[in-house]
Amino acid sequence: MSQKRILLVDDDADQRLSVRLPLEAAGYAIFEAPGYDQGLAAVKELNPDLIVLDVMMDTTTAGFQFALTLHNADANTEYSAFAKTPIIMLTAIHSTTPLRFSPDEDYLPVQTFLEKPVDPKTLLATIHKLLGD
Amino acid sequence: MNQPSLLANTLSSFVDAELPDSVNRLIRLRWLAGIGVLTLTLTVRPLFKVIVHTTPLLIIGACILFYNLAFLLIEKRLGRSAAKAKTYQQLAIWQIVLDWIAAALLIHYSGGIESPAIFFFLFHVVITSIFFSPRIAYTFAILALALLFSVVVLEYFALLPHHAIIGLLDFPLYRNHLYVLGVLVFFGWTGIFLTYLVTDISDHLRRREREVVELSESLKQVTIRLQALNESARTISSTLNLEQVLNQLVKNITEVMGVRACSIRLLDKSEQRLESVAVYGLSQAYQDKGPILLDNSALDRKILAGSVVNIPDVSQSSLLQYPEWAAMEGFSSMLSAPLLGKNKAIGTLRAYSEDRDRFNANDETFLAAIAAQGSIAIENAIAYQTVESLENTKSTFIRTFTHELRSPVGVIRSLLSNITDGYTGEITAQQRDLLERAIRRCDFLQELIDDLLDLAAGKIQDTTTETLEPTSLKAILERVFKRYEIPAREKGLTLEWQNSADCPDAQVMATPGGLDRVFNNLISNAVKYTLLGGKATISLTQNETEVIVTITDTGIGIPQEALEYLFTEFYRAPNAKQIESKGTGLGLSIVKDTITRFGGRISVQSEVGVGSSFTVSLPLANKA
Repeated sequence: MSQKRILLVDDDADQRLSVRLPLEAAGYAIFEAPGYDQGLAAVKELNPDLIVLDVMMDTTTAGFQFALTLHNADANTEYSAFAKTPIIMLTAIHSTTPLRFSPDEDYLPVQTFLEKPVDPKTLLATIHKLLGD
Repeated sequence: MNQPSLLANTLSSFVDAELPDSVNRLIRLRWLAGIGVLTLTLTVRPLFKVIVHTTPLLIIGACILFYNLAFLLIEKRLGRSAAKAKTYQQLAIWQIVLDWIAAALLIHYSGGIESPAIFFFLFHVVITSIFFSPRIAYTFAILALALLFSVVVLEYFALLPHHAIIGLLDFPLYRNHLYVLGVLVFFGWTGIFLTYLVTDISDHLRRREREVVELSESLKQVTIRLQALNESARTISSTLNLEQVLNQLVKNITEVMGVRACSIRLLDKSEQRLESVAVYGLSQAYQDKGPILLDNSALDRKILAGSVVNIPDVSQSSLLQYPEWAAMEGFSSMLSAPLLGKNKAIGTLRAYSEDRDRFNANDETFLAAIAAQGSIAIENAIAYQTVESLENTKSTFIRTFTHELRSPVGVIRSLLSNITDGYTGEITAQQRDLLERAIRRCDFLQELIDDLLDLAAGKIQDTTTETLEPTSLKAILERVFKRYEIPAREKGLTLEWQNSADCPDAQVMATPGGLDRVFNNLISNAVKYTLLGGKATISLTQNETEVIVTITDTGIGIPQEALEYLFTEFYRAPNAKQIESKGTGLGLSIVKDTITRFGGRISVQSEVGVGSSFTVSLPLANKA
C-alpha cells in the first residue's frame, strides 16, 4: 500500500514540526507549506490525501480563504480536482472572537476543527477517520 | 398651571362638606320646634292660666312638622355628595324662608310684639350668618326683621288684628309707641349686630380654613418635589450612564415643576461654549438655534458665576443671547441654576415656562438643589467614563499580549508531548518525569491565558461590539449539565438537576457563549470542590422579573474570610488551593463580570466543611 500524503499548511515551523513527528510515526508522507500561496501550489503539485491547515498565517483569515478557494472551486478552475480533499483546520482564535467554530458550521468547507494546542492522539484519530484507515 | 382651581376646589369642598350636616341638624331641631309649639299651645292654659289662640297656633305647629317632613324626604333623596352643594344651599334657604314665615305667623298669633316667641327670629340670623356670605346674611337679616317689623307695625296701626295672650300682660303694649319703638330698635340693632358678629367670626374661621388648606396644598407640593429629588438621586446613584441620567433628570424636572421644558448644558473643553446634553420639551428648531457662547450670553455668564437666575419676563430681559427664539418658542419666564463641579461651574440647568413670572423662591431653591445633585452625577459619570476608557485600553493590551503568548505556549506543549509520546525515540524515566512536569506547567499557562483572554474580551465587549439576545437559560444549563454528568460520576459524586422536568424555560438577555462560560465555571467548581460521596445540585426557578439558578454543593466550602475576595481577579481560597493546585483565580471573576454585563447578580453562601451555594439571578428578557 502506498503512503498517504498529508500536506501541512502553517506559517509556524515549530508548529509544523510538532504535527509532523506523530504523523510520520504513524506512517504518513508529510509535506509542508509555510503560507497561503505555497500551500495552493503544493496542493496542485502533490495532490495530497488530506490537508492540515492553520487559520492564522499571513493574515488572520488566510486559512479560511485557503479552504474556500479549494473547496468552493468551480468545475473549470485549476483547483476543481481538489474540491473533495479533506481539510482539518487548526484554530487558536476561539477565545478572542465572539464566534466559536465547531464542525457543524457548514458554511465553512472544512471537515473538522481542532483547537490548538493539538493533542497528537486526537489529531491521528481524526485523520484515521477522515481517510478511512 | 391648574393650581388655583385645584385649590379653590379643595377649599370649597372643605367648607361645603359641613352644609349637609347643618341642614340635617336644622331638620332634627325643627321637630322639637314643631312639637314644642303644639305642646306649649295645649299646655299653656292649664299650666300658666293664660289663654292663647289655640287653633291657628296648632295649625302653625302642624305646618312646621309637615314641611319639616318634606325637607327630610328631600334630604334623604339627595344623599351626601360634594357635587350637590348648590342644591343643599337652596334647601337651606328654603328652610330658613319657611321658618321665618312660620315664626312671623307664630308671633302674630301669640301677641305680636308682646309675644315671648319673638326671640326665635335670632336663631336664623345666626344660622344664615354662619353658612352664607355676609351679603346674603345681611340681606336675609334685613328681610326677616322687615317681616317682623311689618307684623308689629301693621298691628300697631290696627291694619292686622292683634291676638293677645290673655292673662300674660296686665295691659296691652302693642300700641304703646315707646315700647314698640324701643323693642323694634333694640331688636333690629341686635339682629344686625349679631349678623355682623357671626359673619365676622365665620369669615375669620373661613380664612383660617383657607390657610390650612393652602398650607396642606403647599406641603403636598413640597412632598412631591422631595419625592422627585429623591427619585433623581436614586436614578443618579443607580447608573453611571451620563446620557440616561441627564435625560431622566430633565424629564422629571419638567413634570414636577409643571413647566414647558427643561435643559442641561455643559461647558465644552474650550470653556467658552455651552453644549446641550439633555433637553425635554424643547422643539428641534429651538435646539438648533445656534451655539451658546459665553461672550454673547450675559445670562449664562451670570449663572456660571454661581447664581440662580430667575427671569420673570423674557421679553423685558436683556440677558438672553437669543431672545427672539425664546419669544418664538413661546417662553415668558425662565429659571436657571448653575451646575457646580468640585472646582468650577460645569454647566447650566434651565426650566422654561410659557407663563410670565412663573417661578418663585421655592422654585429657585428646588432647581438649585436638583442642580447640585446633577453636578454630582455628571462629575461621577465623567470620572467613570475616564476609568472605563483606561480599563478598555488595559483590557485591549492584555488581550493582544496574552494572544501572542498563546501560540508559542501551545507549540511548546506540542513539541514536548512529541517527545513524551515517543515519536523521537526512547527516553529515560527521569527525562519523562521532567518533560511531564514541563507539560503540566504549559497546561496551566494555557489555562491562565485562556482565562485572561475571556476576562479581557468580556471587559472590552461591555462597551463595544457585544449584542445581547434573548437566550434560553434552560438550554444552556442542559448543555453544561450534560458536560459534567460523566466527570461527576467518575469522581464518585452525584450531580443532580433538581427540577429538570418542570423548570421554567425563560429567556434572558445574554450571549449563549457568555452564559455557557458562567455555568461551566460554576458547575465545574461544584464538581471540582466536592469530594467522594458528595452531591452537587442545580435548580432553575423564575419569579415575576427574574430567572434564578442555584448551584449548591456539599463540598469543602469557602472560609468566611475568603468570601469577600472570592470574585476578585487571581484570588483563590486557601482550601481550594489544597484540593486543586491548578487554577488561575480568574474563573469567578469572569463569572461575575459576565453576569453583571447581562444585568444580573450573583451571590454566594458557604460554610467550611458543609458546602457552598451560588445563586445567579438574571432579569427576564422582556423585563430587562
